[in-house]
Amino acid sequence: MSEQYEETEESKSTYAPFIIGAGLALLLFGLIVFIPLAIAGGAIVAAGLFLLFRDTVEEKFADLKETVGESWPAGFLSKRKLGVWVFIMSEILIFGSLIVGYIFVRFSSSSWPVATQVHNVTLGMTNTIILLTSSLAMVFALVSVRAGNMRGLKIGLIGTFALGVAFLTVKLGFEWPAYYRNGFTISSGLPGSTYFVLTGLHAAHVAGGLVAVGYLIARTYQGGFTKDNHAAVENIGLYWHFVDIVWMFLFPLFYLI
Amino acid sequence: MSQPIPTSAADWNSFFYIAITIAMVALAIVIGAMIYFVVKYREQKGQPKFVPDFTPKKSTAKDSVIFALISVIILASLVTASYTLVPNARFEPSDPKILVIDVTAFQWDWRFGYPNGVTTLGNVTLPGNTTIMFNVTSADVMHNFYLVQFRVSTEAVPGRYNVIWVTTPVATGNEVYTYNIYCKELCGVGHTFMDAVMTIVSPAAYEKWLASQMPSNSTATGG
Amino acid sequence: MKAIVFSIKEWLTTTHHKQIGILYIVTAIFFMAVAGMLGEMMRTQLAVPMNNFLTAFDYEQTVTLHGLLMILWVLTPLAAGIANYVVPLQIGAKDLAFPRMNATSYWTYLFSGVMMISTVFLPGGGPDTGWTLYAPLNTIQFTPQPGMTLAVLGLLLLSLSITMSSINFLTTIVKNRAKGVTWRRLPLFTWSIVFTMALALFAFPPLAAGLLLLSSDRFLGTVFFSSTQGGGILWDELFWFFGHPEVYIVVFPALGVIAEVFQTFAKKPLFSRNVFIIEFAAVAFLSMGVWMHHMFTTGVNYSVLQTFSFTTLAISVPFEGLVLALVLTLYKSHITLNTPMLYCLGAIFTVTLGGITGVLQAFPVLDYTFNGTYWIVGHFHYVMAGTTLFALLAGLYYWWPKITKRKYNEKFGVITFLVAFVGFNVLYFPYFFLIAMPRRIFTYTVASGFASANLVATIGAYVFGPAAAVAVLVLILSLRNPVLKEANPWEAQELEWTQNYQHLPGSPTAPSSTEVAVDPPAKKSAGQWYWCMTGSCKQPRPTLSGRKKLAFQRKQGSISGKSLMPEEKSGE
Repeated sequence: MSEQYEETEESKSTYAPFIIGAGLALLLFGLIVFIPLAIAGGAIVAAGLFLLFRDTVEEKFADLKETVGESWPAGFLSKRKLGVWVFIMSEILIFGSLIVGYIFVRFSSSSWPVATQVHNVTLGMTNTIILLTSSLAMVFALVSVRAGNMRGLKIGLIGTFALGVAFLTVKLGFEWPAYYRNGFTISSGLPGSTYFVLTGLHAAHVAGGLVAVGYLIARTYQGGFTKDNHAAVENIGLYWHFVDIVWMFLFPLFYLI
Repeated sequence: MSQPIPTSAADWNSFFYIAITIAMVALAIVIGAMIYFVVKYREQKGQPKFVPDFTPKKSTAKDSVIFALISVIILASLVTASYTLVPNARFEPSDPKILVIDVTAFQWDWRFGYPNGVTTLGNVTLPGNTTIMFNVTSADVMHNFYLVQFRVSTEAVPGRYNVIWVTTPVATGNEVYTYNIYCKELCGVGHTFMDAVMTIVSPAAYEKWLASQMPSNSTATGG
Repeated sequence: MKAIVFSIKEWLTTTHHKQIGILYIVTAIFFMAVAGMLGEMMRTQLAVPMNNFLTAFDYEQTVTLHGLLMILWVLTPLAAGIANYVVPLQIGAKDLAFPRMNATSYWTYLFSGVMMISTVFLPGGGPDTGWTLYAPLNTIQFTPQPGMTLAVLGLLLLSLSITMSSINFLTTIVKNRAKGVTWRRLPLFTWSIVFTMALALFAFPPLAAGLLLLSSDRFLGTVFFSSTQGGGILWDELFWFFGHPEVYIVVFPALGVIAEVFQTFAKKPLFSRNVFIIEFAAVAFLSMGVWMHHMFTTGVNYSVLQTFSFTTLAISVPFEGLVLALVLTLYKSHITLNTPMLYCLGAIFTVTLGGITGVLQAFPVLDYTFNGTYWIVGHFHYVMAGTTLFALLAGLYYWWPKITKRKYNEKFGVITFLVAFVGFNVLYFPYFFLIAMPRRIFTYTVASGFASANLVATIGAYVFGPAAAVAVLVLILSLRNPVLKEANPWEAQELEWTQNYQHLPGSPTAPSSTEVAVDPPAKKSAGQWYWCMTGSCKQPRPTLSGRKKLAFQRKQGSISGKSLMPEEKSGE
C-alpha cells in the first residue's frame, strides 16, 4: 500500500490568534453598544499581541523557517520580508483609494478653501522634517546593527521613537487643537472631513509603528538582536519608511495646493 | 384596449431578441459539446482498465493562431455592437420641440414638474408623439426612475441632474394609455410601493389638462 | 457510534493549515445555513402577491444580510478553507508562510460573522440597505440604527482577515514551494488561488477605505456620503472598484476546482494548460478595469461608460476561453461520472448561462433595463450560487478522502446533485423573465404579473435549499464509514495525492528512526504524466525534508486518524 508516511510532531499552538480575533470583535462591538466593552476588547487585543511578541522573542516558531525549494522570483527576499512588502502593497492601495477619493471630491466641488488659509504650513513642514529625520534614525539603527554596533542600534531606535512621538505631539497637541478652535473640524465640511480622516489614518499608522519600534527597543535591551540576526529591525524599518512616504504625499496634497 | 409599444422599447426588444438568440446558440454549442463528450467518453462497465496516455502533447503554433483569430473576431463583433447600439435615451434627439419634465424622486414618491410651474405627485400626464426630456434628481437618497414599458431608466442622484429623452407613442382623440413607473434602487422601507403612473393622451387633451391644473398649483418646479 | 475525541484547546490554539482549513470549511457551512435560511424566508415572502410573512423592514434586513453573508462569509471562506488544506500539500510546503497569522485570519473571520448576525438583534435592527450599502442611504440620517454601524465595522474586520490571508497565501506560494514545484508545474487549483489572493490584495483596500469613510460619517459626523458634492457617486466608485474584482475572487477558486476534478475524473491533462493560465491572468488583470458597468445608469458621462462596456466585453473573451478549455478537456477522455464530476458539469452549465447573460448586460442600452431588476439577480445567482457553490461542493467531495480518509456514499451524492441541480434551475431561471420586477421589493401586486414566475421560483427554492443541506449531510454521514486503505482512491495525478515524502539524507529534522515509504512498482506511474505535462520528465519529482503528522491526526478517533469503528486497525 502506497500510504504516505508522515512523522509525528506537536503542532506549534498558541492562544494568541484566538485572543486577538475575539478582542478585535469585542472592541468593535463595544464601540457601538457599550464603551467599557470596547476598552475590554482593546485590552484583550493588547494581551494577544503581547503573547505574539513573546512567542516571537522566545523563537517558538523559529524552526518553521523556509526549506530550500523553489522561490523564483523572490529568492533574494526572506519570507518575512516578502510578507512585509505584500502588506505594504495593500497599505498603498488603501491610502491610494482615500487619496483618489479626496481628489475626486475636491475637483468635483465648486469651492474649496486655499490651503494656506486653513492649514498651518509651518507646523506641517516641521512635522515633515521630524518624520524624515525619524526615517534617517531608523536607517542609522539598521546600519549600526549590521555592523554589530549595539549602541548605535539603541540610539537609532530610541531616536526614531522619540521623533515619532514628537510628530504626534506637534499634530495632536498643537496643530489640531488650533484648527478646532478656528472652526476647522472633522465635521465642518468636506475640506475638514478629508483632511482629518486622511491625516488621522496616517497618524494611527504612525502610532502603530511606534508600538512596533517599542517592541524593537525592548528586544534590543534583552539582547535579542545580533549582527546576523536582526530581520525584525529591517522589516519594521520598511514599514516605518512607508509611513514616511505616505506623509510625503499627504503634506503637499493638503498643505501646499 | 392594447397599449402601443413605445419606439424605444421596440428597438430594445429587437436588439434583445437578436442578442439572446445568439447567446442561446452559443450556450447550445458549448453545453451541447459538453454533454456530447460526457456521453461519448464516459466510463462504461466491462471496459478494460484505462491507462492514461503519458506522452506530452506539444501545442502547435497553428492552434494558437486559430484561437487568437477566433477571439479577435468575437471581440471585434461584440465591441462593434456596443459602439453602434447606444442608448438613444442618453442623447438629445434633433427634435425642435422638446417637452421638459422635472422629476424629483424622494422617499417614497415621485414629483413631476411641468414647464409652466404645475407639479403633480405620483402621476405624470404627457402628450402623445412628443419628445420628452426627463430631468431627474433626488431630494434625499438614490432612487432609480424606471420606465418599464419604454425600456429606459436612470438613477436619481441627490445633488445631480440625470437627463433622459423618450418619445411618447401616438395617442389621438380620446385615447388614454397608462404606463408604469417603478423605482428600482433600494431607497428605504417604502421602496416597494414607490410607483407612479404615466398617462399618455393626445396633445390636445394634454393642453386641456395642463390648463386645468394651473389655478390650483402655483409651486415652483421640484428639484 | 464512538464519540469523536475533541480537544477544544487543540482547536482553539492550532496554527496548522489542515486544522484551520477544516475550521474555515465548518464555519462557512454554518454561515451558509444561516444565509440559506434567510433566502428561504425571502422566497416564502415572495411566493404569493401581497404576502405578509415579512414586513418591508424585515425583508430589507433579510436581503441585506443574505447577500453579505453569502458573498463574504460563505463562498470566499469556503474556498479559503479548501485552499488552506490543499495548497500547502500541492506545493509541498509544511504549512503556510505565517501560521499564526493564518489562525488570526480565521478567528477574525469567525467573530466578524458573529458581529454581522448580531446586528439584527440590536435595537433598531440591522442593516437594511442591500449588500451594496449605497450612499446616502447608508448615512445616519437615513439609516440611523446602530446595527448598521456594527455591520460596517464587521465588514472592516473581515477585510482585515482577508487581507491577512492574501498576504499569507501569496508569500507561501512564492516562497514555500518544494524543490521541483516550479511555476509551470504549479497545480491549477493553486494557480487559481494565486489569482484569487492577488485580486483580494488589490480589491479589499478600496472597500476598507470606503468603509472607513462611512464609519467616520456615522461616528464622527463627517459628510463624505451625505454631501451632494459627489456623495452617492463617491460610494459607488469605491464600492464597485472593490465589488467587481470581488465577484472574480468568488468564482476563481471554483474554476480551479473544476480544472482539478476534470483532470482526475476525465483522466486527461487540461486542454492547453499554459494558455489556460495566461487567460486566467488576463481575466484577473482586466477585472480591475470593468467596475463601472455596475454604474451604467448613474448618469456618468457616456464616453466613460462606453469604455467600460468595451472592457467588460473584452473580459468575456478570455473567460469564455477558460470555460472552453475546461470543456475541451473532456474530448477523447475517459470520464467517471461521480459526484464531484457531476457537480462540476453542473457548474459549467451555470457559468455558461450566467456568463452569457453577463455579456448582454455589458451593453449599456440593454443594462438600462436590466440594472436593478431580477434579471441581474438571476445572472449573479447563476454564477455565484450555481458555479461557485456547485464547484466548491465538488471540491469538498473530491478532497474528502484526503481530509477525512473516508469515502461518502456515491449513490446519495449523485441523487442529491440531481435534485439540487433541478431545484436550482427551477429557482433561478424564472428570474430572467422578470425584467419588470425591481430588486429588493418585499411584495408585489396581482396586477403586476409577477406572481406565476415568483411562485415557480419559490417551489424551486424549497427544493434547492434542502438539497444543498443534504449534500453537506451526505459528507458528514460519511464519517461513520471505515477508514480507506488507500491514500489515493481516485488515482489522481496531482501533487497532493502523489507526493512521496522522504527524508533528505542528513536533514536536521530527520528523527533517528527513519522510515521511507516508496511506491510499489505498479503505482510508479502515478503522477508521471502530470509531471511530464508540466515540464521536463527528467526533472526529479519533489521530495520534502519531512512533513509532520499532528497530534490530532494521531489521536484516537480524530478526524484524520483512526476509524471510529472499534474493530478497525488505526490508519496512518
